Amino acid sequence: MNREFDRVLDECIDRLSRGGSIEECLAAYPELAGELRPLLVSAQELMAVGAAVSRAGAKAVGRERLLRERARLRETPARRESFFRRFFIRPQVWAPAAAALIIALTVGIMALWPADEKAPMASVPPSPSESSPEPSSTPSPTLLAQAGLLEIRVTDAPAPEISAVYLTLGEVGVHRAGKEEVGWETVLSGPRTFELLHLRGIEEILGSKEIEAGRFTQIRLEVLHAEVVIGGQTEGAKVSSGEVKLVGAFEVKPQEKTVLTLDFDAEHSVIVTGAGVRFKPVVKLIVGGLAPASSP
Amino acid sequence: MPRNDAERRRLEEALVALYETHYERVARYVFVRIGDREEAEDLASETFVRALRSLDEYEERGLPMEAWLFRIARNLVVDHVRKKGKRERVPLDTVPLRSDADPESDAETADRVERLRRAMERLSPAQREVIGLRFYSGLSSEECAKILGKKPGAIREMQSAAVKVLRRVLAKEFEGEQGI
Repeated sequence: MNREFDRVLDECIDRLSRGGSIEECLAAYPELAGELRPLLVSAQELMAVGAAVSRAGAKAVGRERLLRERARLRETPARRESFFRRFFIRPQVWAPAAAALIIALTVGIMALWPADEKAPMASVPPSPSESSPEPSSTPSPTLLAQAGLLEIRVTDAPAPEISAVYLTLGEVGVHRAGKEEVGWETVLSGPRTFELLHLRGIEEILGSKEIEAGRFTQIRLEVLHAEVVIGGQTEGAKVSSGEVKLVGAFEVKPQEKTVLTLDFDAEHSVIVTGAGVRFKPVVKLIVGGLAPASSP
Repeated sequence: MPRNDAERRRLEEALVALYETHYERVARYVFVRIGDREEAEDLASETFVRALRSLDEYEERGLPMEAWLFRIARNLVVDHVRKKGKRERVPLDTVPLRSDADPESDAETADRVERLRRAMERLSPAQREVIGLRFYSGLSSEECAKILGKKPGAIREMQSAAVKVLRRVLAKEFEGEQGI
């Protein structure tokens, strides 16, 4: 249903950008008119503002610059990149060649290694200090005299290159105690996007709603979308779970305000792997001044 | 592949013709991403110059030239944001106006732009990018998908989410103004 709505909205936006009217779009999809209208009004407003952005003078300056550059490139005999430059700026050309060379060198060195081992550094006379019989440490018997030990380790470290984490939440619901199936009540309907790193040390109000007083046992978050800015590049993060349930009892008392704070741990929620970025929400629910209840 | 002179000249002419039809679109896209009109104009101009210098790299059978241009623009935006060492933002202090509009109309436009700019701040960079490409650059969802390396369905989904966020923020502002 959502995909179909997205498609219809997309088609209507295309119509508007071609000069069509909102009423035309609504007439084509009367069953969605109620939902479409406010969105199309906003879309049209966006488009109208877009028309006011550019200046004629800047375009003329840019045109002149482009034509000047074209003339310069045509006049310069070496306007074409040299073979070597072309070779090195195209990794798809040189990368396989470089890989083949590295493999060939590795194989060659390995093949020659036993011969070297028989007379290591024989042609180089040792310096007095080097000839000292006292080794600084006891080498492993399996190591060759001239070999060092290269140890490769893996570790997990926080990613300081992450400069922003944008999270879009959909519906937020709370579960009323004692009602199994029908106990979920929607408190906020999304989408709502916020930046997690920006929220460090501060709290942003997502929204509020008056609901019937009572005792609640869970809060449910719909995670629609996550994006992470790494090294200046924005990457869409794969959301591990579209829905997060936080278990924690809280009570809404008549005539009183109950504050629920969702404390997202951005550092532990973002997982950067070779295959891309994943967002696995790690979030604590803090109820007023009570002790926090962790997400399951 | 190296091109012969005739082929290269043909592409140069195509690029210069595209400048006439697409400069504003590129400038608007960049503007939406970085929020500074003058810098957006410079980067739009730089996009075409970079494209001209890299014409030998352009593969006609890959992306259409329009989409290739937006890819260059996108990379320039990323470099620009990285160099500036700040997040992409939509500032409220620069309000683009048409110089031929009357003062009253200017004030209305300024007000509208400011409200929308504030609403755009609520979007994530990728949502803003989709809005920039769809609304201000006139590209289809399919073209956006090619430029951003995503599926058209994902672009439509991001577009829907972005328009809903904008709608909600604008409606809230309106309610605030009306004292509701």
